[in-house]
Amino acid sequence: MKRVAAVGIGQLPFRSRYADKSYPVLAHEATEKALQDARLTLNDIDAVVYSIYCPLMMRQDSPDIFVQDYLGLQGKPSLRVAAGAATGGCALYTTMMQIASGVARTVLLVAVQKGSDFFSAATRSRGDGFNKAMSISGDSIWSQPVVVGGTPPTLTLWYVVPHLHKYGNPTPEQVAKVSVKNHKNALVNPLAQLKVDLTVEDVMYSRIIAWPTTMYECCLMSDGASAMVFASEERAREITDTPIWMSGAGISYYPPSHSAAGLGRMVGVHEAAQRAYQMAGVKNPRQEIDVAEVHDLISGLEVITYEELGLCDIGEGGRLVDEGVTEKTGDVPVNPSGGRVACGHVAGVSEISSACDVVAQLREKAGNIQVPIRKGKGVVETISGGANQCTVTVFERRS
Amino acid sequence: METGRSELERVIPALNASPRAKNLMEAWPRIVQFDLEGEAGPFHIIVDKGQMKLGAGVHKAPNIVVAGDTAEFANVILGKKDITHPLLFGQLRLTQGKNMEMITFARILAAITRKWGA
Repeated sequence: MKRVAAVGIGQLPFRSRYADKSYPVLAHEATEKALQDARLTLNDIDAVVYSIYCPLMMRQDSPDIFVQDYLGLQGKPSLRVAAGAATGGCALYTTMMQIASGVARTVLLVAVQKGSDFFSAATRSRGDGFNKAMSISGDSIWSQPVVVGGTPPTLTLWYVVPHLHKYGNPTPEQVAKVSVKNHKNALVNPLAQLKVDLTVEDVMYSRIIAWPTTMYECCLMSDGASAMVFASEERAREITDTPIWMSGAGISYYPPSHSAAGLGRMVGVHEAAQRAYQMAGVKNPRQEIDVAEVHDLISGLEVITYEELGLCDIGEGGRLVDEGVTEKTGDVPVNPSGGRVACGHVAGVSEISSACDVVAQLREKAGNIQVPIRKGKGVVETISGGANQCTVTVFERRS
Repeated sequence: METGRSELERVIPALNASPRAKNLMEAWPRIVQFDLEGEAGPFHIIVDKGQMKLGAGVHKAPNIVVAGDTAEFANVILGKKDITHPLLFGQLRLTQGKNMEMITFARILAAITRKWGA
């Protein structure tokens, strides 16, 4: 396999809504930033991968075709990847395979998603309109009559509460601490959507969404766009002196709803991590990983993710929170961007934005959110709404 | 001690002046009766045409009736706790109406009480 490097990144700030910009415009702006960062033009691109989760939420079927047209990429090969909130992770994997296989030398990865143009006339809430639109993202045959797919109540039911029963953590206080950490991280992130300084009490006594998960422990709903440029080793060395290698990628599909034994674990994350670590040669993630951006669709999941990524033993995630290991000043900072609860979240874009964040961290050009880089490895973890489809990608700075 | 009624009296002018709260109240014309322990007597609010008014005594046709501890209700208005907490743990209970209605009521309050409105 050929080595694959990230050579350009471009991110737009997450916002509750880009009312004044259509999705092709957002895609164009992110692409422009990524190309400028790589000092390339569209002529240098061999192929395009689109990370676009949901046409319905954009009110546009096959949106990738129209983005391709708007970007002026007529004649270039392209494909769109969609896998819930793991869309970006799967798009990273697809991009890696295009270059690693030799099919393309330089690939543009474009992520864009709008979701907040919806509105419920009954409640005057855009959130309710959004939820109605995304409700058919879940299993519309079996699950939807009972529970709506990857929503915070479902994630709490499948993961957080069973984990609390099996291992005694994360406690409501520990989960709230994770939310407070991420909100504090977002305060200094210019790309973050929500900047509010919260206390543990603020978080714990905000609206109960599904006990013990409260409102401030749930991811935001955003509009956004991000783009990246990847290149083969030969091409990367022509483009930049600081290539960040995508050295490992793993995907696993493991639906927790099909097995009571899986409740409280995110087995798919564990399996994806093992595959990515094996590819990247990571033996001891706690010692080797400098930074991780993970999908805290609810804060309780972040704690379980620590365990599945191998940052601690299974059942020890709560202890990691109490010891401050994943704080920005800790041994393994997790979500220095503010994560999905504070930086912003829309499937398809969050994952690529996280990858941009990790690349910037490894370049040591992450500005206010920079954390110390010691070993030169970072991880991006993504899950689809119900943590069915899980991806882990390892990035690495080395010569 | 703050009571639910005294806190409501305090915040109603701010709610009626808040464009966000007004927008939510326009979509939520309701009469909410409060029968809370620790109060001098029952009281109610009438939400109509984007404005909230406080009234003494028992209303003859409320949409929602709230019973329970007035101190807990005061905490909700003060923004210390979302209303879902006392409803879930039984410190407040509805003898008429649905919990979702009170979540909408909490959304209206959030327009002026929370750091970040819901």
